[in-house]
Amino acid sequence: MLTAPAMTFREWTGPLTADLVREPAKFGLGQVPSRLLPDATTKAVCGFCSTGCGLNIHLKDGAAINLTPDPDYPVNLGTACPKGWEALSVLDAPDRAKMPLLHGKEVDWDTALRYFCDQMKRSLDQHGPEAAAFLSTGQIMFEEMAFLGALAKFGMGMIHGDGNTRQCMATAVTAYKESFGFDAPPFTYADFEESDVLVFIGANPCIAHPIMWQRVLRNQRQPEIIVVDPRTTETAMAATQHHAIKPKSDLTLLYGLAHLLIRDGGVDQSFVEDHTSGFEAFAAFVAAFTPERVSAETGLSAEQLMRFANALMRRTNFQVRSGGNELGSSFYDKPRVSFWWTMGVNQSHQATRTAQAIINLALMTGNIGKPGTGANSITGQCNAMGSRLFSNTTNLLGGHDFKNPRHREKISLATGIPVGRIPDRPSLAYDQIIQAADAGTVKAIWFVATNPSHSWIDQNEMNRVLNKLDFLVVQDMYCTTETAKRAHLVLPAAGWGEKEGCFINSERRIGYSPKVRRAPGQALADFHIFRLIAHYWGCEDLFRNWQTPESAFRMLQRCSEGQPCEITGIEGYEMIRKRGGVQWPAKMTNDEWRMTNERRLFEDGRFFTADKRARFCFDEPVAAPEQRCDEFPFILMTGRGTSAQWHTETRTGKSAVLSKMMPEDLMLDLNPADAAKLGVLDGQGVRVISKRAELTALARLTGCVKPGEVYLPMHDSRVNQLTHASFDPHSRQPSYKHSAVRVEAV
Amino acid sequence: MIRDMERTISTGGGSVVSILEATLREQQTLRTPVALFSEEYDARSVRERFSHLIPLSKPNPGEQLAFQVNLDACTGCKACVAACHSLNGLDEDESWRDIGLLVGTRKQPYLQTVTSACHHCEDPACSNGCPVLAYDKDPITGIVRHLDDQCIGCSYCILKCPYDVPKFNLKRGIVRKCDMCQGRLTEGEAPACVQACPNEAIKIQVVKLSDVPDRGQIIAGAFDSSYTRPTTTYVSSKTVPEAAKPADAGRLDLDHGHVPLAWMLVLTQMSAGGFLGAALAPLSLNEVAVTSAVALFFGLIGIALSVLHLGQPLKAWRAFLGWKKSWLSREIIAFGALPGGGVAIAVAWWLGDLSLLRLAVVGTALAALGAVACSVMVYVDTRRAFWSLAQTGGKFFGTTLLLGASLCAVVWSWCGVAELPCAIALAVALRWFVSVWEISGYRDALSDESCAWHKSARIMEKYLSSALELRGLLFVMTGLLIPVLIAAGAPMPWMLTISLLLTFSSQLIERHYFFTACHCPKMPGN
Repeated sequence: MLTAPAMTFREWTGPLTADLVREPAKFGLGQVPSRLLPDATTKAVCGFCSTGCGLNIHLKDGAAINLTPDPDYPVNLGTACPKGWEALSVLDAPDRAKMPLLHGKEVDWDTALRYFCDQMKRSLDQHGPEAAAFLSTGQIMFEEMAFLGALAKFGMGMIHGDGNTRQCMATAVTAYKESFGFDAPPFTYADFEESDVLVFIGANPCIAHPIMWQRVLRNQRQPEIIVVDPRTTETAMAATQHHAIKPKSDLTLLYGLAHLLIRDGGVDQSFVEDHTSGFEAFAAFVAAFTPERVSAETGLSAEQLMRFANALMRRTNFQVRSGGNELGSSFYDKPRVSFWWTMGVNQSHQATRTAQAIINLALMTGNIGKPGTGANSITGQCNAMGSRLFSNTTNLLGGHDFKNPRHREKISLATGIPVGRIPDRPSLAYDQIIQAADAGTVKAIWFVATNPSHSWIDQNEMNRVLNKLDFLVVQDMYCTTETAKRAHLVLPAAGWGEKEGCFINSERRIGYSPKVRRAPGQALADFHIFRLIAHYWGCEDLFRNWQTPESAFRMLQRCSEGQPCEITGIEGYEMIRKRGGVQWPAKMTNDEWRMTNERRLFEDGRFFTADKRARFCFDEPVAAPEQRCDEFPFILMTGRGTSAQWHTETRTGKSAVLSKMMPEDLMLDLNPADAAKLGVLDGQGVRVISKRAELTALARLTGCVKPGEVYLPMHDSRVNQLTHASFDPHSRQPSYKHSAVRVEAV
Repeated sequence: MIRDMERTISTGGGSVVSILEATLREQQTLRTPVALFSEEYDARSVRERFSHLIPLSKPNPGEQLAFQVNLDACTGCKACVAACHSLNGLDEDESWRDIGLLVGTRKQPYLQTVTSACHHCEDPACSNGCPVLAYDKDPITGIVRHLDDQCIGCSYCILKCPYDVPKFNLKRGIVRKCDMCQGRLTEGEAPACVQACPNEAIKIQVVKLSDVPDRGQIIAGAFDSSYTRPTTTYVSSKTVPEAAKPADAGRLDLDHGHVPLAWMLVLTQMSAGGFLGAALAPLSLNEVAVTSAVALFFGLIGIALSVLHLGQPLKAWRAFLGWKKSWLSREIIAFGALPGGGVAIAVAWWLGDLSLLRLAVVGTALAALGAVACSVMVYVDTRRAFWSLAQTGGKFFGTTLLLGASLCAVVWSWCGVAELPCAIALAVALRWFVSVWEISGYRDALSDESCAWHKSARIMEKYLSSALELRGLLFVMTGLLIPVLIAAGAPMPWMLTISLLLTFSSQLIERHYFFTACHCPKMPGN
């Protein structure tokens, strides 16, 4: 753009300067760019991760033009990570799916829907109700997710359906169910601020949940922060204790800590006696986990173990504040300990027992149901928690059991679906559905807002199976995902911001997100797509009550009645918006929840099991199935790259600003000692080879990974070609963090 | 198959279309503002929320505003980068904050995110280098502001800034950079990045100019502070390990090529060399005139080509404004003397006065050499290792003499000037001298890790080996093959013309990687 000079020596203003002029906006926003001056604002909950931050959406003529974090939302208190800041820009990507694609060619919706119904019916009619399955997601609203599960199972007659939450949260679900009697993460984010000791196991919140880390840094109690992670992560750097254990030796470590707590009098006897069952057997079991054994298996010294265990029993770094007030040190002797875990635990070959070993520590020290305590699973996706309760996959709507006839009756009454249409058995898990597809029993799969061609473990195997399917449908915002490219039919979906509904975040908070953008082309909200499919399938009568997300929400409220996750007290979307989200439970019959907006579970010590006692669950640790060998001498761990990247990057990859925040190339973290042996220089190209595949990356030499261990971020589509497919036997969650590889200089 | 299916589904056509259309219409309908938000006005204002992160009063004399980053609180979320982009309405991939990573060593694992924007230096190199005074350091706040409408898009500030702060905006043809959200601060609001940090790691403070460090680095991996006296401070309760290095320290990347500048430099240097030949050789009136006319011709092409380098060429007439501090401004003024010299030479030739002509040619030659000296200083003044005085001076004056001698040889051979053998001998000798100097310097830099431009040598080895090989070939042809052919009786004027073209090409390639292999200093990257 050429501009003519003004006839002065210096131009202090002009059109180019005007491009960047800011002016005061209303709505408490402060200055904003003049060209992005809003005429109104509204609030939404972010649609990336499970933190569930509130965002102020700036509107012009009813459409979103910009956003800022919401200072009044109890989750994020006015801040957001870069993904949240960029939530609108990824909607404008050129590769948005705008029309249905049948074998790669654009068709109208009528053709697409007829084809969809014909193919699905053909599979189900010819091969029975197990021949078609759906795989959904924690990325869409839970009203939509429930509609999908209900439509597929009650309307179309499928048996099998699961979600990509299997890849992130299945372990926490299974662990909580068995230990607490219900999938009930007990915490509220205020617990980050109220702990004396925070233990992070297999979690890197600095990068993966930065806004939760904000709450940790707001803790005024000078907390001990203990991080268990084989890598020196950003969170480990910020910790007061970092225990870099050998990969996947976490279960042994946790049993070893239980051993030390029992030996040294760290058990809260009265809590254990009054509120738990199975402690004696557990105590007998961990007697074998002596410090010597644990030290040998985890690589931590006996002193390190003692330091860790002591921190759980006694405040070690307490200093009297506010001018030496006289509360006395004994008042503080027993620290409030909260335990936090995420993918490092959940994605393991013995994940459920590891999560339960964490729960056991919280139970035996009485660290549950009190401020700053809890065995707390940090969830992954924005609606993973909604998926866990309302996706109608492994659980019947509202955390019910397909096998229980009374539950089927209840859901039939709540939804108006004839009870005969509700299957009496739960679905296969994700990996089992894929196995069934390989075996030929599943012929058609409908993927909604998920990208397994990239994200599934041992990806080449997954893609081989997908290629065998008679019918592969992908419903997604983007037509360029690795999975969409393989699909016979692509249904174009509207994204976050282009539709309304609710997410449930990690702390059980239901948050609302409105429609503030027009979807591109003929992309439709998933909710609309399900309504149309019900119509084309000829089962719309069953779904008369599912006219809008809010009417579906009301029905799900009825489904939740009498459950731990009951939300019958919520008056509607307006209430959720005004209150800054509502945590479950929120019962109509009990008003206590209205008093405060940050609540935790189990304050009365009564759990959701039949005897109201929490259970100690445990098993002997076993070695990870793929170990190092001469040919593959390194352990490959995978995980988050940067805070700007999300999963397979179908969205975050579309933002130019987010792209600036990550390395341009795939970087392999490699210890300098290993690099010296391999003759690899910093920044040099390397080949990473597993039994399954190989890829090239650039080496980043860092002491943050130990010798013999390497790390790759999961966002590059090649990384999961390397990973070894093993699964937790209880949760069926894939173990992404332990594969044997070889590294060679290119 | 679709037709088959249509037969199998027996839905009433009319109702199908209507529900589809209704759904598509509903999808495109946004709710009215009134329905979307009712009373969500007047949340606590931005001013109240961040007032503790900015100074309450203006800096006193001898003080200025500065960023302070608490490394302990910065844990790598990068929200500051996104917020700078969004709250300032920047272009798609534009943000004035950048994020990098420091990593430790084998013995000392270390990981620290480093956020950086403009350091609003006490002695801003960008501003000192700007030929048109498009930078303004506010006398009260010390904020280094870029005047977007004054900028001619010459990119020299990009070369001058050792922190890679000013960024070229291709769409607008100018540079843009952080202004510390000056307008927000005036209103008592915090800058976008300060507002965005979840952990309040960034704040604005008042610093005493006497406390601004004039040596060392503001953080590991940053350029020596003596150059610009950057005002940002990084604070931490932990000490950053001595050996911590940027995560991208191992990266070898090609820099921007600046093609018009490479042509301009080589052509103007050849021109200066030609004038020098015309001034020094005992030539006749017409011989002086022809030699200097050819030199002038190439010089003017070079100057004209340099305009292609500008994003806003129509504003380039202001380029003299920065002469007090900017070597680029001085270079432009010095080259401005060439057309004047050309006129003087033409007049003297027309008058037929050899001594007057000599005076004009000597004067023009001196101006041209002065301009080449300014060109040298333009790059030396960036303090980049690859552009040291020895390197740049050697290359620029080497090119001046080499191409000057070659050009004179060509002109004189076609005109039958008696001094031709001197020119040829000088050209061949210079070819050997310059090439041997360059090759030995490159080899030393490549093998010696402590050499200041070792990294540039590695970039050349990695990306530019074919260019180096081609130059080697050109050296053999111009330094050996062609002289042998001439000695063997090949037609001299043609051989010399080819030799000039090849030598010119060789110097042009050298000038190209003078830019691309430079390896610009910057803050730690990813």
